[in-house]
Amino acid sequence: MPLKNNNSNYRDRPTVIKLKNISKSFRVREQANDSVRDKVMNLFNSNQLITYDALVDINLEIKKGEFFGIIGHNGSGKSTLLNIIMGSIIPNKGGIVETEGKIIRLALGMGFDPGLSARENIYVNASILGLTFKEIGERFDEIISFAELEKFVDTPVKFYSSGMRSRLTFAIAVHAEADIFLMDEFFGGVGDKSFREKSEAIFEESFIKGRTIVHVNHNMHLIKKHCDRVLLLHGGKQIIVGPPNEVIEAYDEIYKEKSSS
Amino acid sequence: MNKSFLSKIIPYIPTNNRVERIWKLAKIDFKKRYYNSYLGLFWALLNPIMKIAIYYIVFTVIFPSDIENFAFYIFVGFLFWMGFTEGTNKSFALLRSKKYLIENIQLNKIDLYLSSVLSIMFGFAFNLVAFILFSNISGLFTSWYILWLPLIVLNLTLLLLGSCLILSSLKVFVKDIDMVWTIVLLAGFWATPIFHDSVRLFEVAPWMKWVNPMAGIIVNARDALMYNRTPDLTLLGYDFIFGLVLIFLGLISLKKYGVYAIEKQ
Repeated sequence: MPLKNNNSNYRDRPTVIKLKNISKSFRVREQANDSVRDKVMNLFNSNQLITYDALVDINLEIKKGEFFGIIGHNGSGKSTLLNIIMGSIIPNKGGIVETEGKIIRLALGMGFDPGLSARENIYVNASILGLTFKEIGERFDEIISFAELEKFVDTPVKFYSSGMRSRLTFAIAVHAEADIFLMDEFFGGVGDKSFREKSEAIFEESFIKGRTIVHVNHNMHLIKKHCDRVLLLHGGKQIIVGPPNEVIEAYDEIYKEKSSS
Repeated sequence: MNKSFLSKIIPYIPTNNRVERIWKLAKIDFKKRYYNSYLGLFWALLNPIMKIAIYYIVFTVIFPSDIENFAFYIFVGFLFWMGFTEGTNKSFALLRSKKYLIENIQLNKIDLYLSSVLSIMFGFAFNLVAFILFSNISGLFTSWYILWLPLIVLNLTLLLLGSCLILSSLKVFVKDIDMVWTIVLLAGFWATPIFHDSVRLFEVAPWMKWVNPMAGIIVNARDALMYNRTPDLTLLGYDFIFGLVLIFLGLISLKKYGVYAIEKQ
């Protein structure tokens, strides 16, 4: 069963992610210069700065309940863009990021303190997403059984396989009711068939609840299947935003140019 | 204008869920520090006591001191000083060690600092209780003046929080600030009346009271814990303001420099 929103009712919904004039340049030095020693040594020759533009002038509005895809080749700025939406990286001056709701980023095997057990990680993460400990306690068994980790509740996460970690991340995100999911090559790669079916069912339900999903993936099949709109990034620039078919065409063209040159 | 003022204040007022979270993070932090060792939690107590024992032996056998109740004198000084050094040294790794949270979930970074300071204060409280126990057993009785103690401990907490905010934000841009800090702490160790006489220190360098807030805190703590008298209120007030100013500067530096923690690593 296709997951996609058949109607475009998301258009009338409120904007939950608004990016305006977002650029990000990283300044890279040829030599490391962040220690006191280096600063003193390099006091008089300071022109070894290389500026690298990871993102150039991105303008974007994502609506509530939208399934939004981001595609692009390696190094095109996809992850930087997710970090900017998350707030963990600050855009250059003049860029405005406005988000509404609780955001969680789902990436393979990330988001946990490896030294802590699943129990502690669940409490920390779900609490940041806004649940009280009482609410977490009530949902705890549900989270564990969804992630299929009944036997490993008190095992430190460092002993988990990457599949187990991803299931746990996903279970927390769903049960703590995050509003915006930033999925960094996450969906489609997680778990066996039965878990995938389970999570697809959850996604279907999510649309009704108006959850927003921003989805970075190289798998064009998945992008075509799920996304309402897609953004194509190339060299940090916003090439096109639109329905999946159009955008994937543009992506393929760039790929052809790249491989022929 | 009223509204914008409120919206600026609101993120700093802890909600129920936030208090729980900070407490939990502090507990986890504390547990992690002592978890995998053989003696476990006992280290939280054993470590300072062993250090105090060494200093005590040095300063009774090799350089005899004429301070009364010298063991307890060092105990108080050391307790507060160790709280401060441990807390600030820990702060350098704070943003990095919590990268997994900052990158994947939106949280208020101040929570991380509050919980980190709180976890230091757990260990501190352990030792404080031990001090009160030992001193009363050996005949140095505590009195009602101990009621000043919460204020003095709060004073230390504010100072620690402010220092952690500033140091960890600077660490983002100046990687070897921790090396510099080691030297500052060493100087501070001798500029604070931990095992030498505070009266003598302030005679030689009266300005030290105002430059080094730890000196004032330790002098006040001894008044409340050992000498059964009211602490120097001017000094207490001054050190409170000192702590609050550091926190204010710390919040600014977190906003200005700390936000680059992820991309600079």
